[in-house]
Amino acid sequence: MLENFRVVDLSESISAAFATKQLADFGADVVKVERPGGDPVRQAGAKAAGSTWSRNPLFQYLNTNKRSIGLDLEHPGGREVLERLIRGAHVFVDSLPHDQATALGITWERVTAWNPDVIHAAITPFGRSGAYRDWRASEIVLYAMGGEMYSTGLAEREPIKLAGHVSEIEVGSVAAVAILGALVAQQAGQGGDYLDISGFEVQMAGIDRRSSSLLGYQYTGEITPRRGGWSAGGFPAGIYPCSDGYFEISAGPAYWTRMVAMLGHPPALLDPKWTAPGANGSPSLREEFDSLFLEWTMQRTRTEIWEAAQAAHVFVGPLNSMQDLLVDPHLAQTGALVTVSVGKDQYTMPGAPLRFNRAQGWRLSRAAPDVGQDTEDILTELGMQAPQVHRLRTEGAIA
Amino acid sequence: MTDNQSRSSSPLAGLRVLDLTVAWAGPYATMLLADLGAEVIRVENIHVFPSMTRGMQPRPAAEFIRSQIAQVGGYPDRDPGHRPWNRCPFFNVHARSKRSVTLDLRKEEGMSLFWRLVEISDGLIENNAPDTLEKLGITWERLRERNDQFILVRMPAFGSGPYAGYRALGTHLEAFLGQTMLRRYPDMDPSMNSTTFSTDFLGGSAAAAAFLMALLGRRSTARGCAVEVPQAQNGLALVADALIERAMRGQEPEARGNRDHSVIQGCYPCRGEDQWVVLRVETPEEWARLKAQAGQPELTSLKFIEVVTDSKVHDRVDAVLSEWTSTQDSAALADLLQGDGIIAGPVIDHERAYRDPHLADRQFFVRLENEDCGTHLYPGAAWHSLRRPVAFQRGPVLLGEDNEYVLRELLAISDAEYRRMERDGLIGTEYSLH
Repeated sequence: MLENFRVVDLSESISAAFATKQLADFGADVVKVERPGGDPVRQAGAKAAGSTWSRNPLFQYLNTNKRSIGLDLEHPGGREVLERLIRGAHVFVDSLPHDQATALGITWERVTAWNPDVIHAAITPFGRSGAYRDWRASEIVLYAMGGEMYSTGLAEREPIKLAGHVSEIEVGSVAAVAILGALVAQQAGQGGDYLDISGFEVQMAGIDRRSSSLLGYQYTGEITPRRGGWSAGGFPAGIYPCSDGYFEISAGPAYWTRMVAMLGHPPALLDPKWTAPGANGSPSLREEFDSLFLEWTMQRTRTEIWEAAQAAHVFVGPLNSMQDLLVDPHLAQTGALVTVSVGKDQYTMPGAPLRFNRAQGWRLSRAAPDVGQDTEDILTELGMQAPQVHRLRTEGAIA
Repeated sequence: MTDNQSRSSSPLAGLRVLDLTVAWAGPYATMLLADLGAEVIRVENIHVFPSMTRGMQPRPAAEFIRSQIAQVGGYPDRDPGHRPWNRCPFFNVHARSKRSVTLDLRKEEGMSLFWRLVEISDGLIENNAPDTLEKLGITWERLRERNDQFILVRMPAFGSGPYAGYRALGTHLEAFLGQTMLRRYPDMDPSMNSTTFSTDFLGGSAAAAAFLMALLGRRSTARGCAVEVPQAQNGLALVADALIERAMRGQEPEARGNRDHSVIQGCYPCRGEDQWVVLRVETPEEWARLKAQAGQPELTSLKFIEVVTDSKVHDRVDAVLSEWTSTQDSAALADLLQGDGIIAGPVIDHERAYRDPHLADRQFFVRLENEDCGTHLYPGAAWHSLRRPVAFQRGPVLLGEDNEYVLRELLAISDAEYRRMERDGLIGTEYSLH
């Protein structure tokens, strides 16, 4: 889809790497500009120690289909190569803290002077202005400050984050939307743009409860408390045990009839008290229901309950493990998981997130690059001759 | 050019998107497109109330509203008003800048107007239960026949494949994806996990991105396309690290709670009621600085490597750090530590967000109004654009607010015809249901 676009990616964060991964996976030529020692994201997440894998697996996932050029931006020669890359790019992405961007002279003013049509996206934790401009962040800080960690967990315990890098990935996905939108304008002849993307704001404006809870507070003056279990919409809802684990169900008032059908119309649930106005918000009725429901769930497996719920059009999800995903028939048959070979290693990771019917969409052209793997190719494309490249290398401007 | 002159219209100005979305994931996608300047028209039906969209029910009972958290039961001042569907926070938060027309798509007359809208629109986004569109007779083939430049974005839970007919909300997809098993407190089973909806977030942004890519593709091919964004497959990105770890090590990753690999990390109590700060220490140097700030003698001899390699040592460190943080203000402490190069942040609740100095500096919250709610501060745009700033055209859209605009201006329905449609209950501004 994006085969005609060239992206220069100077970023060093999970969020920004996920944004440019989406561009690269759908066909854009993403040139990853790395410091000589490599992007620090190469060290993030679980280490490959104890396995046969020699490279960082999270990095491998975030950087599929990208090329890498090693540049020392402290060196004038390195900065000159960056400038030439940006002159030929449709999109330039960085994640530099404000002071570093200024010190290196990689600011919007300079970038737009080099290339007035370029889309310059600065993807940073807090944006390029404001009280927290110079703060650092990470997954847990984004979730804590982004308005929802406070309401996640139990009232008597500390707030708890989601697993892995959910907030950072969300930020990257929204950054990709902002970049693609700006590309539409660029392609319509409206020129370049500067996008100041703050992870903190992406979180605050996000749909996973955050923004709704913020508006709920505006409307009522009430803070959404930290509550375990399903907290909205009536019962049955939440996570219940079954014979081989757990499942989650949401079948509030609108789904009551279907739910009763799923359970085989037990006489105890045909009493009109269950459908009286407000019944679905009653804690005592919920307790009564749960004891009946648990009798049914404990005799069934996750899969049996999931299938019964789907047949009755009730919302249920089985609580899967990672192993369950690796052997799931739907994921296997839809190409949702792929195995990428790098040298002797085989990395299993998520594959196509979506499909176009009339165009080539997601594809895997190459594994994530090693640091500077494509330096010479890229410099040649910029029209540099071998002696020039040799000189840059001797001076330490490229790696 | 001065900066003012160089500003131009929104990226998607002049593009029209039909919005058949429900709940959160779909409306979030169309919100992003509206933020980019597209004219998004919600096509709604006064005889069909999709639950979890403009509320859980058209007219929820007072007892039900009282039992619900603010996000669900938080109608302004806890009062559902005469038209509760225009006052629900979990709808209004994404409904800015959109338009709404009511058409009964189960009737021939509604469908014929819908097809005329297809001819003058650029695309459609939907995330209904599987087969909802098929039952209405809306298929890619028919859309393409009407308008070969049309872009159809569908956001099924699972999409084509063995689970094609399966339905799910975001929280069930999180369960399916294994996120729910991993995001529990490490010392508890998952049954008391809070309900979260991260796949709505990621599904919505992916669908918006898919629409934009299709639009970019259309520039060269002059043809539209259909995109399927199966939210389960798309949501794998949210567990990518755990999935990769499982494949790599051959054993199930453990629930880590607030901890992370190879760092010191946690959420610690602060002074005041239910106040918290999160900390992350990535290097021995940062650890030395944190120890100096904390001034707790028990920590002095502990090396970074000991803490990150032994969870019992980390537990002990957490207890000592908590004693110290309990005496500190969370915002002031985060500020102090950030100033010393340590990653930290206060846990921000919904009241505090509105007086956060950084969000104020960046004018994040935006005053919006609709007829049934009055004026409030709403969460604003997710990004800043220098040349084409996100501008909210209007407040959260009322049901049927744009019937006149869509039917009379866009489709040139006559006065008499429009009045007849109102009389026959084909269009309106109130649900016929309770």
